Amino acid sequence: MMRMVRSTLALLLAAAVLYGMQHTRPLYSDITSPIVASGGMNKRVEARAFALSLDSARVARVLNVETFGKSKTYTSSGVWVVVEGEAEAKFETLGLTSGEWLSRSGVRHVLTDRVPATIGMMPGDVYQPGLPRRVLLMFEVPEDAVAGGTVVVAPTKLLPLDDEIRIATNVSGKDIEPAITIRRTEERPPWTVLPQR
Amino acid sequence: MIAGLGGLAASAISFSMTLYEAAHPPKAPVVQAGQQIDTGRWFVTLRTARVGTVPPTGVPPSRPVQLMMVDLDVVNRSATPNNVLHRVVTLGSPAQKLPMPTVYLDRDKYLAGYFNPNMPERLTMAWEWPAGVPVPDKVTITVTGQIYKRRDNLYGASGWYDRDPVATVDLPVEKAP
Amino acid sequence: MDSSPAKVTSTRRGYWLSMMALVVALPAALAVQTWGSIKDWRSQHLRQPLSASLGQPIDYAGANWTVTRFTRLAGSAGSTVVLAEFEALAADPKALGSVPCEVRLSDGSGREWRPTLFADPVVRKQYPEAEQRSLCGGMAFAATEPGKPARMAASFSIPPAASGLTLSIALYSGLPSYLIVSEPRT
Repeated sequence: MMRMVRSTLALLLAAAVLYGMQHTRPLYSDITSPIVASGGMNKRVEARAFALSLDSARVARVLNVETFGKSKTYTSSGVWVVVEGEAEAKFETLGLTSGEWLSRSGVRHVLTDRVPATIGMMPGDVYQPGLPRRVLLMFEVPEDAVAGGTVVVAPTKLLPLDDEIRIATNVSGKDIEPAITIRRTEERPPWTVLPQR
Repeated sequence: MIAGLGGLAASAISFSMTLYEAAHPPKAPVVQAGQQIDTGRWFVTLRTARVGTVPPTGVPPSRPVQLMMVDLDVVNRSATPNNVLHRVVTLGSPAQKLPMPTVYLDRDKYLAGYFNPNMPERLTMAWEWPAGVPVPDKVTITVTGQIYKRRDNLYGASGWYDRDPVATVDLPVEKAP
Repeated sequence: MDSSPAKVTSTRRGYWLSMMALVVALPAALAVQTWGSIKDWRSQHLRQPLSASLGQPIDYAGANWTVTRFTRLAGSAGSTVVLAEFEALAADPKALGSVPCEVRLSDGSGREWRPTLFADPVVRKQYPEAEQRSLCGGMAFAATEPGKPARMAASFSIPPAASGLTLSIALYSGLPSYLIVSEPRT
């Protein structure tokens, strides 16, 4: 009889310990979270494998994309955020396939997949060590997610403990242009953001 | 010994629960078209259903097929972008399994990609209707719920998990060319 | 219950034997499980270079390799293009047809470039024949007849200041050995 009671108690204790451990240990996403390097606009932010600087972030209600004479208009239930900057691989050729707009409240928005990749956006490009290259990032976000947003760039979204750069933008969310045009060009970089300012 | 018995009991319970659920499928409430359904991760509002041969892009496929097209509004309420709508909105009939639907964004009249959080979108889901199966006068759409687990039982990872259907919607099928 | 001394001893012996077996079996299971990964890691990371110079044939991975060109060109937008051409005479090219191959360019400071997917326009202009060649690996060998060398090329986009360049060619069937050729001094 005593033995039964004792083993039941041991079992309950073990269950309690396991439950406690499950709820006090860090989340899986925290253990495997990327290694972050942060910074602000117009600064070169260095991660282990790559560096990124952003020099322009503009907000518009409508996005026009001009590809060799053909123009297409992209509307949104929110607004468009168009970000430009420069990225460079440090030691090895790499791609930067993941870009996100992190709102102040922690909600993530991915790079738009509505605009055709021919415009030469960041994920399609290859970054060579020692050859910095202009980057273009376009996000579609609700209007209330603009102010205080952060751009998050990583080589890939899939590898745990990979590099990630976070750059806090300086957009207020009040200065919203009616429309921005991205024109594809034959030069480098292969796009121009209009109207110029 | 106790652990063995416990394990046996656990698998017996889980097996009989599965059996019970299979025998008594949960009854999801019938919701009217145009009414917003809260699935946990999404707000889904089903609008209309129609059958036709031209997808919303306006370009008919090279191999002529019948498409069952359902118009709906969605809002992603989670904190991350997602595009796995085909697990949330499923076509009840016909009996055989349909291939994955194609999702079109109404705004672009083109394939939809990710749905960003808190951005309402109107879209069209198009299922290829099997040849030889007569098109019914109405289809039943099942909307499945999803719940957020802060830590799952295996890794302690956060994620969304499919749950029972939260609603079914009957839509009359318009026959468009 | 039978609790004669003989029975107790044999139960106890069984218990300790099992514990000893566990001590041996557990690490053994771990070792067997990790052995494959260790082997993969070794072949990927512990490599032995086989050094050759430009134009000098060398045997590697079942073929006779020669790097025939290793040159710098002025690329677009201030970059430098490095064009490398090489060929391999294999006894049985079909056998190499499905072996992945890795070509890299590295410099004295440990930076490493992968070949560019599309060659810079300057390559097309100055060496149109190089553009016809395929990148190292499967395709190049599969399309070659026995007795003829498989001709391959790779071009890289690098900053003009990079110095001490080394071309490396690794055929997965030839690992941990790989070929290296240094940029010729001019």
